[in-house]
Amino acid sequence: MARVFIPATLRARCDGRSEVEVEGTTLRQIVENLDAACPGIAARILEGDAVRPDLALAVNGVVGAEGLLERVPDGAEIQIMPAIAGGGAG
Amino acid sequence: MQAVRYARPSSVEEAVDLLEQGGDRARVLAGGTDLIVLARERRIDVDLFVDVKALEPLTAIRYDPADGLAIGAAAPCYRIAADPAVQEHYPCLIDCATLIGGVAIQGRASLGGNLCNASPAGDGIPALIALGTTVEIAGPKGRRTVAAEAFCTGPGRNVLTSGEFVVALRAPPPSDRAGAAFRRFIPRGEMDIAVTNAAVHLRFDGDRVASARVAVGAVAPMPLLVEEAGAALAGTPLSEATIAAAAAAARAAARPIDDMRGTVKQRRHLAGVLVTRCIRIAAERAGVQP
Amino acid sequence: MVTAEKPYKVVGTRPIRPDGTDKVTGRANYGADIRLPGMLYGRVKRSPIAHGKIKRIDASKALALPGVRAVMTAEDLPRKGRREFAPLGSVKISLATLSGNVMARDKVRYEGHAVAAVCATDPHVAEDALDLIEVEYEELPPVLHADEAMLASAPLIDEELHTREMATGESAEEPSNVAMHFVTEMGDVEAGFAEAEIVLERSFKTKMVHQGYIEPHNATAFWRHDGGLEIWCSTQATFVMRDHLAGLLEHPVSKIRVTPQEIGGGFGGKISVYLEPLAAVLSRKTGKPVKMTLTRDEVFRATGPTSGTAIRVKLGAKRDGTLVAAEGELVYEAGAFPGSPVAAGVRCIFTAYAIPNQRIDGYDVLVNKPKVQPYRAPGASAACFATDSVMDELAERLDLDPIALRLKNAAVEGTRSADGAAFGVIGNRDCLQAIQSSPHYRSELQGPNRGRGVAHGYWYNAGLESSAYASVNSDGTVALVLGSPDIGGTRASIAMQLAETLGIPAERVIPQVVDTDSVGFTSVTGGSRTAFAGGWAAHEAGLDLRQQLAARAAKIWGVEAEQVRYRDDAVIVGPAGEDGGERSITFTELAAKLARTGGMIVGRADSNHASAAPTFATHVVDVEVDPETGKVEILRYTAAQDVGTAIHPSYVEGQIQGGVSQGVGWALNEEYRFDEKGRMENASFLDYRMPTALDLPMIETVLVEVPNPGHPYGVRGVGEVPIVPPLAAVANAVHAATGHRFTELPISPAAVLEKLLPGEE
Repeated sequence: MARVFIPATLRARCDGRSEVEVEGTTLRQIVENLDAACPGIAARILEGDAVRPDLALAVNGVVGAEGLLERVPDGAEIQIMPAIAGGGAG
Repeated sequence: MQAVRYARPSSVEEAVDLLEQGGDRARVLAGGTDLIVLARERRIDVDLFVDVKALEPLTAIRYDPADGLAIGAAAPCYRIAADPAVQEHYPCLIDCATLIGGVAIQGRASLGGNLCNASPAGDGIPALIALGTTVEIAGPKGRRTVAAEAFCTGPGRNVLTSGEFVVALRAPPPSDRAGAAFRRFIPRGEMDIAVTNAAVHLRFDGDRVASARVAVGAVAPMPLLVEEAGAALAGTPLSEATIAAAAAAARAAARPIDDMRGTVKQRRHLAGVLVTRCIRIAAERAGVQP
Repeated sequence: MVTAEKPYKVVGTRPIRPDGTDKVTGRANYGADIRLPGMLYGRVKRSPIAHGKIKRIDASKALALPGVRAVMTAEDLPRKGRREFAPLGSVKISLATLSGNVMARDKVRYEGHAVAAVCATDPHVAEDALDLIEVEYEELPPVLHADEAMLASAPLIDEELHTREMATGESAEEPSNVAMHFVTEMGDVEAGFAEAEIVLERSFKTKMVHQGYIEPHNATAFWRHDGGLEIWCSTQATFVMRDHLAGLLEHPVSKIRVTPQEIGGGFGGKISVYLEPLAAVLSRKTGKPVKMTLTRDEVFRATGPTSGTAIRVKLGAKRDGTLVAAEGELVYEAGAFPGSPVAAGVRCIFTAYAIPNQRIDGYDVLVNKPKVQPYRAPGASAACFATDSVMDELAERLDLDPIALRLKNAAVEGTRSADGAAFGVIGNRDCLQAIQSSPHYRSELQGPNRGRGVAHGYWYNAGLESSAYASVNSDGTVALVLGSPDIGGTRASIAMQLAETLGIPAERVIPQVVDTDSVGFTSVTGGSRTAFAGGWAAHEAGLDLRQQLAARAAKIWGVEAEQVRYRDDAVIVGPAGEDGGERSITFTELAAKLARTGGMIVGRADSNHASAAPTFATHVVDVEVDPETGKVEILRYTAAQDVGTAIHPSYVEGQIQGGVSQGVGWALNEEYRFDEKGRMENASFLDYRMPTALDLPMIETVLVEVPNPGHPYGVRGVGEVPIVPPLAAVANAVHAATGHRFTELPISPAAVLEKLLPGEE
C-alpha cells in the first residue's frame, strides 16, 4: 500500500481528496491503481508509455531514474511534482 | 575589429602630417585604453593609428618651481603617480592617476588621453581644471594653448581640429598655502565610471581663502568649472556656511541626465557631497583646519 | 572552520588540485585555444530589435566578400515540433524552443537573437561580412515586463502558446504569454490565516541578472565527410550537448563526439547549446572545421541570464512566532521562450520552514528578453529574498531574535513541504545554531549607519547518472576517467573519493575529463550533483578494483578468491603460506605484477542513485550605509552551511565564498537594464557592475557536516545553496542600518538615496 499525494488541481478527480491510498509495487502499478480510484487521472500523468516530460513522480520525496519501473516499497509516499533542473556552481 | 594601419612618427611635425592626411579616420594612439576599445566595438571607424609614444615631449614629466609642472600628453598614469615632484606638489593628480582603471590600465592610460577622450565623466579632467592647467596643442598651424575647462566641448568632443593633437598639460607652480583634491563616487570599490566626480583647488592667504577653483564632472555634457562655487569660498575664511554655499552652487550648476550609471537626482546631490569632501581635503592639504 | 571529526584518511584533507598548475601557468586548454588546419572563423548576425517578423534575409553581398565561405540561417536547421523533446537530467527540453533560440525562424523575439551565421577564412572578414547580410524586419511592439505580458491585451510573443496547467497538463483556450501555471497546496490556507495573530503580506521585485562567467561561450565543429561530427566546446554537459545536437540536427548520437575543453565558469549558463549547431552546419557546408567565439557583449545580450521576478508573500503566525499559514505568488520572466526556474522557486520558497497550511502559485511568463538559463540554485534566491525579508519583519514586529524565530519554525526530519514530501536527515537547525553561536553573531555591531541582517535558505540538489573508469597503472597510480566537465574542483573531489575507497594517497589518482566516446553516459555538471554522483561512481569503480585486485592476488598465491581480502589500508591479505606467515601484498606491489600475471585491470561503474540530499544555509552580514551617497559597504559576512561531508574543505569554502559574492552582487548592483524598446543598455562588465575583490571582505565560512545517509561518504551537494540567502541577508542588514525596507533589487546607491532623501530635488 502506498500513499499518493494529489496536487491541488487534480483533486477534483479524486472527490476532493488530497491523499489517496493505492496498492502497487512499481510506479506503473501505482498509476494504474490510482486511475481506478480517480478515473482519468492517469491520462493527466502519462504521455504515451511514460510520465509526462514536464512531470516527475517521487517515491518518498526522491525522483528516481527508472521511470515507471521504479520500485515502490510498502508504506511509501508518492508525490506528483514538476520536473525541475539545477544550475551549477562554478 | 577591422584591419588598421599603424604609424610611429619620430617628430611632432611628422605626427601632424600623418594626422592631417588621414583626416577623421586617423587617430592618435597613446595608451589606447579608450581608443582600442572603441575601435574593437566598432563605435568608431579607424584606418590609421598614429602612435605618439616615441615622441619625447609627449612622454616627459618635468617640474620646475618657477614654471610649474609639464606632463607629456602620453605619459602613463603609473609614471605620474610615481613622480616625486607630483607626489609632493600636486597630490590632487595622484588622486586621479591612481584610480583611472586598474593597475594594468594605469600602465598605459594617460591623463592627456583621458582629456582628449572628453568623457563627461573623465576622472582626470576635473583635477586639471581645478589646478588651472593649460593644454598645449600642436597642429598644422603651429602650437596653441587652451585652458583645460575650455578643452572639452561635449561628450567625446573637444576643440582639436584636423591634424591637431595634445602635446603636454601644464599646471601652474604650486603656492605655499594651497591644496587641491579630487574625489569621485562609484557604486563599487574600483573598475567603474564615476557617477559624479569633483575637484577643488584652494589657495589661502592667512586663514582667508584667496582663490578657489571648483570643478565637477558627469553632471553636464562636459566637466564644468563652477565659478559661482569658487566665488562662494573666496575672500573669507573657510566656514560651514561658505562650504555649504559652494556645494549649493555646484548642485545648481549641475544639469545631469538619467542613464544606466546614475540618476539626475543622485548626480546633483553627489555634486554637493563631493565638492564638500574635496574642500575639506584641499584645506587639510593646505595646512588649514576647515 | 570545519565542525566535525571524520573517520577518513583522504576525505577531508586539502591536497593540491590536479588541474591547478596548468591553470596558474596559462597552459590549460580552453575552447578559444583550439587551432585546426584549414579552420574557418564564424560569427553570428543578431537582431537589433527586441520583437519583429523577419521579412527577408539576403546574404548575397556577404557571400561575395572575398574570404567568406558560407552563410546559414534557420532554413538550414530542421523544423522541430513543440512536443519533441531532448533529455536534460530528469527534465526534458523542447527541441522547438532550443532550435528557435539558437536561430530565429520567422520572428525575432529579443535584441541579440541570432538570425544568421557566417564563416570566413579570417575573423576580421567574418566580422565585416555581418554588415553585408541584409535583414528586413517588420517591427512589433515589445513586451518587456511580466505584469504587462500577463494582460489579455498584451502583444503575443508566440501566437501558438497557450497557458498549460502544470498538474493537469491541460492548456487554456486562448493564446497567452503565460507558458505555465504551477500550484502547490497543503492543508487549509484560509483556516490557517484565520488562526494567525499576525499576518504580513509584502511584494518583491528582482531584475534579470547574469551568471557572469569569465569565459565567453565558444565552439569548434568539424563535420567530416563520413558524417562524423566533432565538437570542441566549453560546456557543463557533454552528453546533454550530444543529445541536443542529435535532436536539433537530426543526426545520430553515434556520429557525434563532444570533447569538453577547460571551462572558465558556467554556474548553469553553459548547459544549453548556442554556437555548436551553427558551427556544425557551417562546417557541413564548407567541409572545414569552423570555430566560433562570443564577445562579452553577445554573452550578455544573447545567452541566458536568470529571471526577473515579482513575488508576493503572505505569512501568518501566532504571537509566539509559530508560523501557521503561508501564501506565495511567484511570477518569473522566462525570456523569449518558456522555461523560467519558477517551478524551483515554488518548490523552495517556504521549504526551510514547517508551515502546516500553504498555497503557492507560480507563473512562467514570456517577455522580449533573452531566454533565461539556469543560474546557481535557479529560482531559489529571489524566493528566499521574499520569504526571508518577511521573516525579518515578523521577527521585528514580534520582538524576537531573527535566528530564534527561524529556529522555532525550522523544518526537521519528517517535516512535509507543500508538495507532500517529507524530509529525511537534514542539517537545517544545525546551520541556524552554527550562526547563533558564531563569533560574528555573538559580537556587538557598533557605529552609526551600520546594521546586521540574517537569512536562511534551502536547496534540494540532484542525483542523476555518472560513469567512471579507473585503470591501475604499473607504478601504483590509478588513471580515473570522468565525463563531468569540472567547474568547481570536482576532478579533485571525485579522485579523492576513489583514493579513499582504495586506501591510497589522493595524488596517486590521476583524474581526467574525457569526450563522449571515451566514458559512459554522464549527466550534466549542475544541480550540485557532481561530487555526489561522480563520487558514487568513483567509489563503485574502486570497489570493482578492490574485488579484481583481491582475485588477482588469490590467483598469484594459488588460493581461493574468498580467502583474500582487500584491506582499507591498501594491503591485500590472504591465508597463511607455507612459512606459516599471513600472505600480504600492497596495492603498489600488486600493481607492478599485474602485467605478467594476467594483464592490467580496469574498474568500472555506471551509477545512478536517487539519494541526493537537500542542503540549508544560514548567513549573517554586517553592512554600513553611507548616508550621503547611499553606498552599501559589506563589513563582515559569515555563511554556515550543511555540506554533508566536506571532501576537499578548501573547495567547499571556495564554493560558499563564490556563491555569496554572486549573491551580494545581485543584491547591490547587478541588473539587466533595457531601454523602452527592449535594447540592453549595460552589456559590458564595466556597466553590469559585478562586485570586485575590493567590494567584499574575506567571507567567513562554517562547514556544518550532517552526512547524507544516502552516500558512501555522506556527500550532499554544496555549490548552489550559498547563493540562496545573500539577497535577503543584505536587504535585512540594510534595513537594520537605515530603517528602510528594500523590496526591490538591486539596492543600488541611487535606490538607497531615493529612500534617504525623498524630498531633495
